[in-house]
Amino acid sequence: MKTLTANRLDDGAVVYWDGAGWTTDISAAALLGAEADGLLQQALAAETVVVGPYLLDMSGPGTPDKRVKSRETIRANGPTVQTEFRAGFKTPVRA
Amino acid sequence: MYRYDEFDAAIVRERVAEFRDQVERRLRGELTEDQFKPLRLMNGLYLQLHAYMLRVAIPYGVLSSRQLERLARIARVYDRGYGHFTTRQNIQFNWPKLGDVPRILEELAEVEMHAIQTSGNCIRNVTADHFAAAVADEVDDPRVWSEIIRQWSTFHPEFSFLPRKFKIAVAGAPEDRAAVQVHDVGLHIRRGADGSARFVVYVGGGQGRTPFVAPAIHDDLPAEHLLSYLEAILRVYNRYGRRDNMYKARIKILVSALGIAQFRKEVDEEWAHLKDGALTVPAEEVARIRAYFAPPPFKTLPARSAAFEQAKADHKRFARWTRTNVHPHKAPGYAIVTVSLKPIGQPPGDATADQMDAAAALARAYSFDEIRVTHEQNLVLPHVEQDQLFEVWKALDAAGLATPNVGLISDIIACPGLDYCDLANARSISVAQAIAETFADLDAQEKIGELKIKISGCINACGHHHVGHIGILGVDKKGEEFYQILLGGRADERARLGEITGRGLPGEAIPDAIARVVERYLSLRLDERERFIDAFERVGAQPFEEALYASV
Ligand code: SF4
Repeated sequence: MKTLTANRLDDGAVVYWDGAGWTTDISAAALLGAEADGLLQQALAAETVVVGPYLLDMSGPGTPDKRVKSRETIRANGPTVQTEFRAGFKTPVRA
Repeated sequence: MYRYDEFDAAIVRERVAEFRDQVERRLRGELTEDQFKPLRLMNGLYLQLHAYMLRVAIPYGVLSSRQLERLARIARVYDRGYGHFTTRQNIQFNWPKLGDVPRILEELAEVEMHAIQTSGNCIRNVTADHFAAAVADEVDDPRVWSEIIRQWSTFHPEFSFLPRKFKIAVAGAPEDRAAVQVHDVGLHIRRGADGSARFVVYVGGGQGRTPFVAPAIHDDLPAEHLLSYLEAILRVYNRYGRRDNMYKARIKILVSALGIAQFRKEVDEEWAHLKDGALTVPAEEVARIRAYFAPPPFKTLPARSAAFEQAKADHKRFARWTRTNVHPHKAPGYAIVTVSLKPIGQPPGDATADQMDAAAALARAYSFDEIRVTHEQNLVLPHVEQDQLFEVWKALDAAGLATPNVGLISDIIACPGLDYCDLANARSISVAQAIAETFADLDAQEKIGELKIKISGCINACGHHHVGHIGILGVDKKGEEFYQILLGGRADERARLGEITGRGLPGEAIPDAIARVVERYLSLRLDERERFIDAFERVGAQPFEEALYASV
């Protein structure tokens, strides 16, 4: 079981393929079978919306395989420190 | 302080305009990622785990208040309200948006800052002793020579595509606070027999996968020959450095393969063509650059400040802070203040925008507008009147910047690790936080005394684990974070690599393991003056290693 993941071009955010587009929510990531390689090739051929796509082994919906657990959990959830600055943070001012 | 001349400013402006165009083309899809990546790296822009990361150069760790305020503004407006000071005396912003980066670079250029030489296989931003021109025993100001090296190395056409990156550090006092012996080239200024400043030149040091303490290639280099000699070293490296294998491409591998005697011979042969030529540094040029670093107008003050002594007697917390965070200054009545960026439980080296503004305001009011960044990830107010220390402390305390722990066990170096870094195997910051919390009691920390813990999240060793009194290296074991412990390293003028201990430990076991090592030290030290590293050198690794694995 795999999912396709990458970083978004404009802000580098971690994203997953949800079957129709890119989502930042790993629980919405599409679990891929035979079509995975084709999707990866497509993403690699045109890195216009996302950068550095790769296939990620999953053990179930929203759950990265245990061999890549520490890295992929932090990728999915953001840093375990400075939690106040995690995803969802809004830049306060634009001067 | 050195000001960019017209030429530098024009180059930086052109680079920013060029990058703006490149970013726009990338966002429109006209440049591929393969085309764009080297261009963004040349401008200090990396893509990390969760976001882009912009690394901004702080040449030899020197900032004016205005520059630090600009960094604060960038953190506040374009990032998430904080920045991370690194072991390279740089600052990294963890969350910039690609489309904002050209604007950020423009804002930096307005205060004579940039991201040049923060990436790529060039001569990187030179680092230097953060107490430059403030300590009494200094032989010469390392900033002057760092600036001379910067002017020579920036955009040096011959050395823009070296086999690998190249890092130079400069120390100007007997105590080496710049870790020069673990750099590609380390320069340690000493006084020659005739009283002039001479360089001891170390070459081929470094950390990472294959760590080396650098051997000295020259122990009495007259200052005017500095650039010709460096050029000779770089040429030999450029010619023979291994371009075929990234892991063997650093100069340390070449020096170790040839041996220092043979390497010296090669350099001498090359130097014979260069010595006394165009690269000789003319005395007028040194004087011109030295003028930028002229001492600030120190007042004539008594060596001992009654107000300072009284404040210490009256305020215990202040007195404690002065024991760790205040260092003697060369000018009577002045002191050097280290601003700890290691509050217990916070990521080492991080400062919020408000904290940067607070430090900048204090530098303006009390330290001749100068701030230094240390490779140990703290800030320094280099020239504070002793009479003003209490005021400075109160303001630092209010800003969360007065943790009295400089040089103690909670003054930990930690790289960004797996919380941010794309290359990481394991987290560093969380381990640092857990250790600091274990030793949160300030009395206990003071009793333990000087103990330098350094943590890296992978073999690249940005967190200097090889030269920590206790070094910690994160490794990945089938998706779990483990940590390898090293003991007995040091990064000063007696630099030594730590000894690798047995099997790695899981993250949760680290604070207790460190506590056992510290207890062993306390039980075997001769007296309070015997620091951890002294005790280690007296008794060796074994008792500490035993303690490390005692109850696991
Ligand atoms: S040591 Fe490794 S994990 Fe830490 S910042 Fe350097 S590359 Fe990243």
